[in-house]
Amino acid sequence: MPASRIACLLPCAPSPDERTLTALADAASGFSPQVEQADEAVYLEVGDLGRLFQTEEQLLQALEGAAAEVGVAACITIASDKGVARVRARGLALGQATGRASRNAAIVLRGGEQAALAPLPIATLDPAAELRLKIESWGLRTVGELAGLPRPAVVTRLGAAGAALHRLASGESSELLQPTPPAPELCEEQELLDALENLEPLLFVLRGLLERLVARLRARSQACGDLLIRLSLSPRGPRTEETRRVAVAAPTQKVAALLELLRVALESQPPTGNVERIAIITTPSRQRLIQLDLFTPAGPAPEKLATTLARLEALCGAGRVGQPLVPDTHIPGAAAQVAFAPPQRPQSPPQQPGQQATPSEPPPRLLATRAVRPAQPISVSRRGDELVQVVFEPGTARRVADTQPVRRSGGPYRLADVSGVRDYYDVELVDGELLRLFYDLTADRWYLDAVYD
Amino acid sequence: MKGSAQLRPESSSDVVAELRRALAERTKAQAPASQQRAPLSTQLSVIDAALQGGLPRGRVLEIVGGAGKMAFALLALAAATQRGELCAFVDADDALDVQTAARVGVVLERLLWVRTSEATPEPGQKSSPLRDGMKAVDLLLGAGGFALVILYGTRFARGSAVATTAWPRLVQRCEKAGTTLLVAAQQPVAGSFAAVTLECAAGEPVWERAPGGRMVLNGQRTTIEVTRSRLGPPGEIEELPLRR
Repeated sequence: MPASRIACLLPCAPSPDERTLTALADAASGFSPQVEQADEAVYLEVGDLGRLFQTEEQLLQALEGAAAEVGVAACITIASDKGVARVRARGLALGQATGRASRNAAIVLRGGEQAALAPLPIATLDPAAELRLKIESWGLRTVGELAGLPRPAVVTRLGAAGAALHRLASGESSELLQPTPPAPELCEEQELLDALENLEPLLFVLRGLLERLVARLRARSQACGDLLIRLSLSPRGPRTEETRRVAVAAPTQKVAALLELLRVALESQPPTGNVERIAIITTPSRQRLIQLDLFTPAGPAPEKLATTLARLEALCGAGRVGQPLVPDTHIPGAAAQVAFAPPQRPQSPPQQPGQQATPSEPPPRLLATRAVRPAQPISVSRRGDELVQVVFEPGTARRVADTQPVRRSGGPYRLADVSGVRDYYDVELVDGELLRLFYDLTADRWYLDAVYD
Repeated sequence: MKGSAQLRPESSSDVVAELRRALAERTKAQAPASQQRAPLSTQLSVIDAALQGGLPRGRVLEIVGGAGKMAFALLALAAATQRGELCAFVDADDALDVQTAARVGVVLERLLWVRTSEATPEPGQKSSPLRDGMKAVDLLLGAGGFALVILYGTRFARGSAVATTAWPRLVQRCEKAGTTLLVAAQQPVAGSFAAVTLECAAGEPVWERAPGGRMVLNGQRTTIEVTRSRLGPPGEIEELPLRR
């Protein structure tokens, strides 16, 4: 079993926020499943990556690249122990701050922990304020000077906390890695120097955020699910914050497809004011795997289909694009619509061994209708059960003449559902057109329901 | 040449034949998607025979006239979706007969229903059912992967300036995508841009007397005629008795 080696990723900026640490943890999860997100740094187990990276220097460069992809400047160290890696990283951060460090990455070799930590200032051990005052009052300035003191004397004067500090300074810390689960949501945000009012510059900023978001998702081997955009607006307008929800039908890692969905959403519902801050939040999803079939024609690519559906909804309105569904009702002409999610493979029934495939029968030739939605109110003259004349309301766009005599009528057949009780009639006009009408007993009105086509 | 194995043709005619075969294969590989797949059968024998096997891939067709357009459209959708193809119904009137579609055998999971009847026009433009429908068709052709797209409407105005400029683009995109576009309208709107024009004529309805004396509409006889075709001689008529 390979010996344990811990990498520490410490943001160069002091007091990193939650978002920065989460982004680093996501970048780290692309290397190892054992990732700990602590208060100021991210740690990961890298001792078993020997087959992927021949040297630790290669691993270090890969970690530097991963941190840069998620937009975080970090000091990265590799050591045999979590505490040692952290102290060395703090040393690099201090060096960066003072301009003395040429590179913000380092490797602490096994057995060389004490030597690596010796020149670093006491502040890198992060002692409690009281302890630090005492140590500095003794004239100690470096970690090596503290490690050079006899341990019993340190314990006597500084207690258990001092003993822990002395062990850390000697490179003998035994902190265990405690892996933390990945964050359930990913968020990328940016504050703008100048508030934006046009869509194109806003999309430019969104592209950058999406690229960082997708880099984090890629490290996790996950895809982008539904998006939530949070826009903080200039206080001049009536509202200060707006949100937009963008459904991503096919989870994807493609920035271009996601940007197109955001464009469609913002074009259909532009921000009502100038945008000062943007945040994108997503819940990671598994990338959908599609098994193609040799004998079934391939449909549109999932990302393209999702973008097309979003554009169609922007054109037609919400809820007017999707798969048709037959609702559970006897009312003729009823229809419902659900989200369009075509099956990936043809659903043909399994055959028993020796069973011959049944020949496909031609579809039945049925009388179909052109539904009138919503049903148009009309007036009807009748003689008993027989309809004599149909008068269409003025202004209905589909009729040339307003009054049509009836040649023959059939019905009624009564149907009832939650919307009421209706008597349906089939009507043949003298010009040959066939209509379906109904009389609504609850509303006491006649309606044109469909035209046979 | 020393060390290399070469096939020496017995005569120059073998070389020519070999070259012709290789060129033919290369040309076939570069043919647009529309030419590589069989036409979409409508399961109507006379129409299929008149159209060389069915609705041609990558072409624009029209069906106009009286009753029978929705029934024909549903038959074409049933045949295509049962073969595993994805189809779309761009509905300018919100008129799709979903219940009959299911009874005819349309696989609804493979049908995308786009209702453009309440589409919002762009600023400065008036609402136009044909323009909105064509926009939706354009988006679908851009996505690709749809074998059959039906554009259905009763309020399409003939000769609109927008349509005249848009049809050549749609024809090109249909060919590139290998998608068949069937326009169902009261009167021809695609005109010469359509490869085939079919015309429906409603025949006599079939009324029967039910027990109790009431009349019941049980069907209608319709005909579909190929009035214009670039695929063969026009004039073929399919008798299409429709029953309830």
